[in-house]
Amino acid sequence: MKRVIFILLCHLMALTALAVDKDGDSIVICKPERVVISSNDSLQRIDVKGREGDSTYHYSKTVELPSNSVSEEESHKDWNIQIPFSKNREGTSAKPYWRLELGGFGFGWVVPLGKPSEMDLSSSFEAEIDKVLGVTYMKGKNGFSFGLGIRSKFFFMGSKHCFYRNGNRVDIGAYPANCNPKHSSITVGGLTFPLMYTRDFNKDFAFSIGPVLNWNFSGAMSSHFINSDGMTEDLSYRHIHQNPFTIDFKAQLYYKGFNFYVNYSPFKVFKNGYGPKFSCLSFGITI
Amino acid sequence: MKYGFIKLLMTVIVLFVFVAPMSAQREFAISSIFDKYMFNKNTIEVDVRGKKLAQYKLTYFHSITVKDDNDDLFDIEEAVKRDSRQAVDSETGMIGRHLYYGFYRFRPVKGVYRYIFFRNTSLRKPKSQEAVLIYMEGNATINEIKQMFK
Repeated sequence: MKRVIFILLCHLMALTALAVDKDGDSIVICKPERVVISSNDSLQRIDVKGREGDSTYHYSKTVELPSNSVSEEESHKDWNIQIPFSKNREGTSAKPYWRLELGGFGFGWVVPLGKPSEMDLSSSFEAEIDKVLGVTYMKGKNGFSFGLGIRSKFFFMGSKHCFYRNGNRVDIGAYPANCNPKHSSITVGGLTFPLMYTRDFNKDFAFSIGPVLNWNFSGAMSSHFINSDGMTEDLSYRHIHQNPFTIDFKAQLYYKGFNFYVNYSPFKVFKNGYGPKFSCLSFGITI
Repeated sequence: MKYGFIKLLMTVIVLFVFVAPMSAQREFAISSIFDKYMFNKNTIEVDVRGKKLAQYKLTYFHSITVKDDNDDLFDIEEAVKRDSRQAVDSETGMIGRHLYYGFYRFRPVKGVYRYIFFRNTSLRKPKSQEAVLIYMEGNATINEIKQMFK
């Protein structure tokens, strides 16, 4: 059995007549709340519920269809047809809504900018959870999001130089003579507060850009080596005077579940006078 | 009655003078080591407070130099390692699996830092069977305290 059901909500703005008129076989119903047209090969049934000023109004009619009848459907532009359980992400006329966002595990490479020449890093990278909790306000294809994330940056030195503590300052120098270097690293981490503008091009493709406020409450320096007489020495410090509050500028491209991002941090990693001066540019992927 | 009151007053004074300043040390696992070796005849104990320490930016210095079997010295090492998990800054040297020296700085309490220093000399000179354990309070940096030991 062939069955067609149209559910029309009550926003028929084009109808201007207020009265219900009967003129021969015609009937005009102003601003119906719900119209259901059901048909099969031999019968067509029309149900109208509610009208302007009378929500209890009900009209029903069943018509027998001739065997050679042709079914024709026409939609009106002013009718806002919403099919239940489907998400309408397209079209600028969609109602604004809030979207909850969680997760987004990211990994990126960090390029130190303006670092001193002796800072010969073997690797530097970052790991993050983009949104531990976030919300996006979407209106049509445009949206604004804010949230809370976690990020840590890691800077690993090569085998020639190491980080060491000089009073309250982190300096870079050579490893002790005749030692066997293991690793020397700096870690800076904390909470991130991204404030992003988002543009959805379609369900698989979107673009976001905006500032990210960072609260770098955690910092650590560690140097590990085996000295000439075989003793394993480990120097670890947590109070390294990293810059506690910084602002990054982030742009990311969403494509089929993957976020490709570029993050520029113009602020120095350390407070002035407490460590080597450098800022960071990072790029990576968030899943 | 009068004797009882004086006894009570003396007890309160002793508690106030000795126990209260040591309360910060009591938070650490090494406090049991100090208790264990405090009256040992093979132990040298140093307990300093006051103006003598001002030049080192310290307010309290408590050390024991212990001569004992290696197994007992390793018990001290284990206590130090337990405390080291809370350290903000640390400098350590390991010989094999054992801690030769460890210098730790802990989060301040009421603006005063706590420090633990440990060195097991017997790992380098097995015949000595000696270890040093020091607990300090003050506002010095690790570098400043290192100068004190030079």
